[in-house]
Amino acid sequence: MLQRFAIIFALLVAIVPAYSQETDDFAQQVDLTPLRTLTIQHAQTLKTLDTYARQTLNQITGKSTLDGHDALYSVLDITFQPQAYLHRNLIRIKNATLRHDFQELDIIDAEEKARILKEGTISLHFFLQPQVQEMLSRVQSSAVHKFDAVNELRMAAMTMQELLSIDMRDWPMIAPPTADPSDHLWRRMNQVAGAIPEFRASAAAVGLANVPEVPEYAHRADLLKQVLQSMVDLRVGWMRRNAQQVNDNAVRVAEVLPQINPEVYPSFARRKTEVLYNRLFKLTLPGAALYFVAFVCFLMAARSRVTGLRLWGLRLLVVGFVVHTLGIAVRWWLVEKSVGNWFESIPIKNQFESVLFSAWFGALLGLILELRKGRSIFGAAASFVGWLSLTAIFAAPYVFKREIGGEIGQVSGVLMSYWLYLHVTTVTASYALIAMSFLLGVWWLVVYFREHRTVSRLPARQLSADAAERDESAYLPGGSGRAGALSLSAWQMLAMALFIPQPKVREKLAAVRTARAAQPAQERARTQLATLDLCNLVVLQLAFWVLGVGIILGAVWADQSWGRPWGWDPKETFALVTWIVYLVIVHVRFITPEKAWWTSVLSIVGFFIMLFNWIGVNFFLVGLHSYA
Amino acid sequence: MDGNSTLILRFLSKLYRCTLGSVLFGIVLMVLMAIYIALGSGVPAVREYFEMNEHQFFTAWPLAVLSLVLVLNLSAVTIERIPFTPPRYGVWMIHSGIIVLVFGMMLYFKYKTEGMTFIRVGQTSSRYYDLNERSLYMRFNGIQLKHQPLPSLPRFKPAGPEWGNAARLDRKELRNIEPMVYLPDQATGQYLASPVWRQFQLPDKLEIDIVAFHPYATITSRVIDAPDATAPIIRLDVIDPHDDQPSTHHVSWTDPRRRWLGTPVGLIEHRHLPDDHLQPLLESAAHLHRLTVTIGEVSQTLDVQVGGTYAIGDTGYELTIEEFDPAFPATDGQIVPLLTMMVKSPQMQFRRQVIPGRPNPTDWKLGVEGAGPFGQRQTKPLDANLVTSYSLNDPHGLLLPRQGDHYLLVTSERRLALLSLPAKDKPASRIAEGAQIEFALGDEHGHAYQVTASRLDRAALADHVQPVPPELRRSDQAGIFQVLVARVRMGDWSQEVAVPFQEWIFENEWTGGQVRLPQTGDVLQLQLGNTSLQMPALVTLEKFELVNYPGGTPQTTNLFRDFKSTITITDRETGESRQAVVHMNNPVYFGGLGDSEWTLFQARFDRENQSFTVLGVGNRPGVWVMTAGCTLMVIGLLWAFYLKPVIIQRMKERALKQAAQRRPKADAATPTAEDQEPAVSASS
Repeated sequence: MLQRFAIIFALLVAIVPAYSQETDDFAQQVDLTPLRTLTIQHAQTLKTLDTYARQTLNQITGKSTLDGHDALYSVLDITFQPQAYLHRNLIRIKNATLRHDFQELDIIDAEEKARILKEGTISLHFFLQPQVQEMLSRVQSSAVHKFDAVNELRMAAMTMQELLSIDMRDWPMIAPPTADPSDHLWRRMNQVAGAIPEFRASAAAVGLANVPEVPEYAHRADLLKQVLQSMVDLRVGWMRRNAQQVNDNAVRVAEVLPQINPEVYPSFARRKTEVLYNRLFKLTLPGAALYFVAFVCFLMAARSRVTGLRLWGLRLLVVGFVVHTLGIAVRWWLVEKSVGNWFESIPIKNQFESVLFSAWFGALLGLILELRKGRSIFGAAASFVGWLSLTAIFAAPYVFKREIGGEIGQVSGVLMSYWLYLHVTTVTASYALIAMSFLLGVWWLVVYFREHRTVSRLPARQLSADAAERDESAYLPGGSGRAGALSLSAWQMLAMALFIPQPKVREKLAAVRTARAAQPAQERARTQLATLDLCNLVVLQLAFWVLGVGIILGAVWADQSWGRPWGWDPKETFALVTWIVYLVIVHVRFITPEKAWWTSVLSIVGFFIMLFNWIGVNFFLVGLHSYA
Repeated sequence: MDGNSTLILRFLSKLYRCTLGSVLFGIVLMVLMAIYIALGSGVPAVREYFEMNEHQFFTAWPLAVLSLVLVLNLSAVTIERIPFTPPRYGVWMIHSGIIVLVFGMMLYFKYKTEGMTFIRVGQTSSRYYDLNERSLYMRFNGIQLKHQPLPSLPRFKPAGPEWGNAARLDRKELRNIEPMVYLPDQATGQYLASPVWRQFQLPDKLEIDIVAFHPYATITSRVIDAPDATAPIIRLDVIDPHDDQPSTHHVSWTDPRRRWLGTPVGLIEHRHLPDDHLQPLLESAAHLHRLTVTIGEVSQTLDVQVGGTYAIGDTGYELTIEEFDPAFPATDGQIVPLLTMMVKSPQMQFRRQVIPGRPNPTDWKLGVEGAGPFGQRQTKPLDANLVTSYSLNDPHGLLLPRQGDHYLLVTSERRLALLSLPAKDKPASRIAEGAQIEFALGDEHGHAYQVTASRLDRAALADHVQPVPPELRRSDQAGIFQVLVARVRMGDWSQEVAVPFQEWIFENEWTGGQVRLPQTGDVLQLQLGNTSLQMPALVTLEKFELVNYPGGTPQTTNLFRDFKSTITITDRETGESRQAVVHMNNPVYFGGLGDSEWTLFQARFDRENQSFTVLGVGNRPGVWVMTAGCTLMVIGLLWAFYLKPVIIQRMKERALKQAAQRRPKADAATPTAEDQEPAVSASS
């Protein structure tokens, strides 16, 4: 069992490096580390060169490495050696049907057509052919979805074209001269080179008399001169394949650039963190891995009641939660440098971020419930939500080939509001609870069908929360079940998780374990089902009213922003439909003894409706609400 | 009798227990409502089949009926089964909250009106356009008429003879629409609507029928056979010198939109006249400029042409007409025609400029150092002997106040002629006549447009409505491409015209939808738009600003931090005004009790120039009722889930304590029946 387990663990966590190719010495000796953390302003965000290079390469090729080299190396090589890339098939046609449209061109042979269909990449040179342009214009006006697909390809090609015609001096890496927030555009080296007297002089000498003086940077002329010189030398070094020259100049650029306006330039700590954050998959995979192991521990602990497993589950859940919290906190910090204030930087504005936050609420609530009530069941639900959500946001771009907001960027101004703290948090928290309720519903049904022969003769009510015990002392011989003689406090639980020995608790738990082992199979199954239903009830009650409050807060926000509290927008209506499912559960429990069965089935239905509301509506139905 | 009434009573009570008195029935109602809502939102095809937009679908009778029955069911079950005791206050609050909310929503959707208003910077708006309802707008010779609301106009599916569902448009307000004009009543001063045909003395009653509707289409023109056509149309085959591409266009005098063809180098116009008017028009081109010259005692009246040289008797004076500008901006700000001539007399040579109707010319002295080739402008006439008086002799209206060359193609019953009326320095001339005319629209650089004009008799230009296939429709442009086809009737005459949609009827220019009535030549223009409603206050836009994120400019991005409209709101009745700023997530409330009945919120904006804003307008009926209902629900939920067990626990403890005090009575310790009822909440 453990072996199987270890393999799964390894598969989930292991990052198979793709860097196994041996490249030439230059690439090996070049050290771009100092450049990675430099800041560039792009798409209204301040980001590191590392992030920018990755996003750019991804936009063109759909991948974040090229020839075994990382994004920054590749992007720099494209800018320094454009002739080597003009004819390379790098531009990815992301839309599959568009690749079929290339089949009708007569300037390429059958082999090339097959290659385009299979690999989906073309070169910039090929893209610029008039016949290709004419074909694309025709396809673009044939249907709206084709319009978007062709646009996507054009943007990728334009980005490639831009890279081929610029170099570092064209990137907005020079901070504004003052701390005045109204002067917020970062400059390119080429824009401010005129502040350097020597540059102006040498430009005049070759006949360029109109280089603007740029007085606002005059006081920084000496620093600019060093940066410009280093950028030029770096380029020369690159083209001569002189790794030492490249490295030395990289260090110099990285040293001097932040000094131009240190007040405005993001701190090194923040920049370095951004690079690390992105290297570690934005902390999604590490968190997901920890949650997964915790989940397995809790599942096994619930079955066999082994306290050790439960404690390990708790430990891993806590560590996973800490990693998860770190992921959110770091992201918040990184967003703040582009937004300018903490309040508006809360990272809960797109699909990626809302799932991230939702899982956090779920994990937190589940953790609290597990500590307070302790059945391993809440722990399993909490770690399930954490694992599922973090894996989903990590994998979605690869599986569905579309961006879900993993990269930090700006959003529509209507989302910069305190309502994010009120409406979005409650609704996403309720979604996490719905996911937990889903797990518990599935779990109940699995146990029910597994133990069907054992429990089928019992009255249905006995399998529901009505007949559940409040705590574990009920299993002690002579225990009343409601006296609370053996309730483990949250602190005791936490202490045990933190390896602080609690001998008295150990004894009590051992007694409970023995008593339980002595129970007949039917009673054991019955209590397990009843307990599961009880836990599900706790979770879905929370989900129910939190969702209700969330919907109402959404109506108040809509009234402010769109002039009407309820417009039957698809997002609004499906949230209401989700809420009605839980309304039905609450009332079904009054009228039927099969309440646990109905609760479990409806929890599953509610989960899928919630998923459709959260994600499906954004893609399939158009409305005012399509942010996250 | 008694037996019957008992049976009926028993039946009714059974019915009651199975429906209004049953929780299962309530659950079934909730499920049905959920299905209805999911269908209406998730499957647009269902809604569109019934030709309803979201608002209409969700305020239609099924949901209203389900809600009302649910309210009855809820009330019945609550009153009958749930005792009004402290642990159950929560449930009572939730249920009453739901009932209050349902009534609030009914109020809201019954009285709700919402729309948008378009305001340019510095202007005031008093109207807004309803979001959902549409009207037919009309203008007669440019005069705005009363608009006709069209509530039963389809929304999603096309209607008309070619789809076989022409009957769909057989509704009262879509037929026999009479254009009406508002005129003040002499006696009362109030504006009353009266039919246009009577007011403007048209030969017969003027009426309009809507005969087709397209939810998403474009309008082009095509040539159709018209055996009764009173005037021909002209076909122009043009070859563009830049790429040698030929193209075909048509011009038609009877169609006010298609009388002109504009090219980069000049305008082509079509006119149609009776045979006996044609010759005078062609000849009048030579007599446009009338100059009366008086030198001493000799006085001569000349018809001059640009480029011509004229000697005045034996005075020795010679006038060369150099240039004519039909639209010259004079120093006093007026746009006037201006004739420039070179005067050569035995004594001197100078330039003179004259304006029709103004006696004092402007002379320019030549050869003045530093004055430029045109000469130096003089304040007094250089030659006191020479008195010139200039008048424009243009009874046929050939000279248009515009710049650029003008080519006039004139047709009469049998003839086709071309008149060239160039601007500036060439004379007007008759170029050619014949069944087909070839000419060049030139510029001097050798890039001349080769045009062949041919006359097409018994033909007419008609609107061609082209539906756009679904894969080419943009969902964010859905309403903009609506097209109506209207049939305008007057007596025996009728004509169909395609009427496009205009989002901002009173703020933007109308395109298309024009018909020229026979005999009188009056122009009726139609346009489809959203119904215009009065705003409860006047709103003036003082300023509109776009706020960027750091690193963005209006030119480089579509994502903005904020849009701010600074407005002044003036109450219609009291005239009081106040300033406010409407921006994202920050609406401005005004009107009604506590100034909160109406809301203005930022809806759209002018990205290029920040010269206009679009604000959403809406009222908020029942909002406080809905808020009260929601508050009750939330408090009730928290009570029912979390307070109730605490209350029950306390009640039990009290009961146990009391039982302990009354030792012999052991049964008092038994918990009461209501506490053993299955508890929804089991959390401790």
